Amino acid sequence: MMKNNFSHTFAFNLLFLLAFWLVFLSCKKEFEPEESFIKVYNDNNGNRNYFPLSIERTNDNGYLTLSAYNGWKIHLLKTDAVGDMLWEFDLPSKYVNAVPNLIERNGNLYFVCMDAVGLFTYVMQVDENGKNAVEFQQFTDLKYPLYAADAGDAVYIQNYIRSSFRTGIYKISSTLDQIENSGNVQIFTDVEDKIVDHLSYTGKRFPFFVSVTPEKDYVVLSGFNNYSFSTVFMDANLDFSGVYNGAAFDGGMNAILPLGANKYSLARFSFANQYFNPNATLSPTTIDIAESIPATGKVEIDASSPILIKNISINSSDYSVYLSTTKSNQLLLSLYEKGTSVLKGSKYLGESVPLKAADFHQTQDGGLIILTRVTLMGSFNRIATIKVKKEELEASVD
Amino acid sequence: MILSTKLSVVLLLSALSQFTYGQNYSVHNKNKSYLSLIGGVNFSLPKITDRYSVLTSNSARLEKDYDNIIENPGAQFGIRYSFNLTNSISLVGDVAYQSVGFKYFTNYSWTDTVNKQEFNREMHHVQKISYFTVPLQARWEITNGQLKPYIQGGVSLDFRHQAKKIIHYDNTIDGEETDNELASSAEVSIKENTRKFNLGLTGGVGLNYYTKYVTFGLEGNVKYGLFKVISDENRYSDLNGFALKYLDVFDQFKMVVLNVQLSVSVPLNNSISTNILRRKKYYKRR
Repeated sequence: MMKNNFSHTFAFNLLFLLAFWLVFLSCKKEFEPEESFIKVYNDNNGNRNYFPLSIERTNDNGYLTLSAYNGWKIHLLKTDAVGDMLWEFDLPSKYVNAVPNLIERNGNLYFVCMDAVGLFTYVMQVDENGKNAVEFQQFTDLKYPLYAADAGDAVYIQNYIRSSFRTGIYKISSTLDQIENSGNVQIFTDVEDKIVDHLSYTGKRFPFFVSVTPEKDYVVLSGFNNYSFSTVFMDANLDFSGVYNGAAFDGGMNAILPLGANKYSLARFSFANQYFNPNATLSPTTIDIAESIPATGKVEIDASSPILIKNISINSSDYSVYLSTTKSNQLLLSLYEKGTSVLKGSKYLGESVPLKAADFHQTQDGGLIILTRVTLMGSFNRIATIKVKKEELEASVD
Repeated sequence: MILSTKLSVVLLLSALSQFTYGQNYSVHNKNKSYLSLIGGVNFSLPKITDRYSVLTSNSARLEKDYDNIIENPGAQFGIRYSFNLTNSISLVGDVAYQSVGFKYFTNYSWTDTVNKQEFNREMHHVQKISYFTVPLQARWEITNGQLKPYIQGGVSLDFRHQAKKIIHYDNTIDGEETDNELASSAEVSIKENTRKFNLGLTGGVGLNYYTKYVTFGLEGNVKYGLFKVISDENRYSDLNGFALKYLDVFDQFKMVVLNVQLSVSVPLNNSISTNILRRKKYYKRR
């Protein structure tokens, strides 16, 4: 009897020990909510149509998004670190046509937009305390701004010079208050109707682009040149140096990331066909055609949607990452080993709900913040952010 | 028909007389062990600790509305082993399979004042999670008669087996499923959205009726899950495609489960030779 009692007690003790062991196992690292999220920013107004353009981190570890709505009107949206909306602001109607990208200077965020009547350029400063944006500078000679790129020691703005049918490139001081230099290239034809369609969101959106080589010896821009949509190299003095001409207005480059030493990660398009080359060699002094650049066809990519290429680091390895939109309206991250054409991994985002790529950045915790447009209920275009956690990126390149 | 009615009445009276007569017996089951079959229904209530949503706004309230406990039924069945340390104190261990459910409701509306259009979407979210549960409890039988009320308490180890979800939706916001508009998503697994293990505190009251061969029991228990049910890591991984399509991610919560179940137990030792039931006038309780 004593033995029987002992064995039962032993069995129950064993079970309680198992319980404590399981409790111990379940006490693992706490997940931080800012590591991963999907947020769609609600607007009950069914007539609103958003087109997100750019996202930047703010001082409080939240994010600020710059978007267009109902055509060329401008919308700002501030979120906290977990992507929840804190405030939003519609700019007065005189300010229109915000261009990518948001620019960070001394802890403040700025963006470039246009006067609705005078067509000239404003630099606007975001006031996070006032929950709005205020005029910081205006450049009355710089009409039809199309793109703004931050090179650290300067900001480059691409524009269309309607009086002489030229594409202009302006070097703005790092303090964003004066024009330091400018250059231009001839288009030889009036493209104002295309420009207006682009900036009012009523027609084709062209992938205007400006970038600076790491050596700071060339400024690369994708824009109108010589009857085509071309990629033009301007030297450090903003004089014409070389060009890869597009196929009229239906082909050219839609994203380019200078890697240094004449190496580039690029995406080019020809009508509806899309091609990637993450390690192309381009000559900044040549005159060539864009379609001659070797590249791999990407049949599933929608060539009319924005494509972004950026450098990110995963586990101390560098990657050229392409964010694109598939023809089935998913987002596709393609991760190439930097400086090679080796595809190390890819990741699809979204399923059965239309998404369109807008912008992305690597975050301080090693993840990615992606700005996208989502079409809710098949009807309403809204701004959305997707935070991909570091572990998901690591799993993508395993 | 009349015969069967009479037979039923006779059987009922017989059972009642046995019950009344049974109070003349005391139960002596120290060092005895029992094996039981258990089964019953349950009702669950998620206790929300953190709210999450895909759609975010700085004005509108976008929280989920949870159904009350009575609208979240489930079931459980299993086997039970108990060992009596004394005539009134026993240790009870179950191995059971328990299915719990919870439901919530969301709705969204968009109005186009320019083109005079409106779009409404109402969604009814139905979740079922099944666990292998191992409650380990101590039980105190309060009296020594043949009908013994008891209270019990302990812990429950819950190992998730399956988790599924389906959404029913329509375009009329009225809190009800509108039959002529109703559509449903596919039923998808939410296993990766839920945590594999939970530990609960459990306790309840019950009643055992002892016979020489079989013991019948009825009990009710409350279990409070100490750990969160939803996996925070996978909340936004959109493993089932519901996050953007149905604007759905889970809130975080702990689960309270109320169950009512019946048991049928047999002594593992031979009940007659071990003489569990003894007339009260001959034996004092030890």
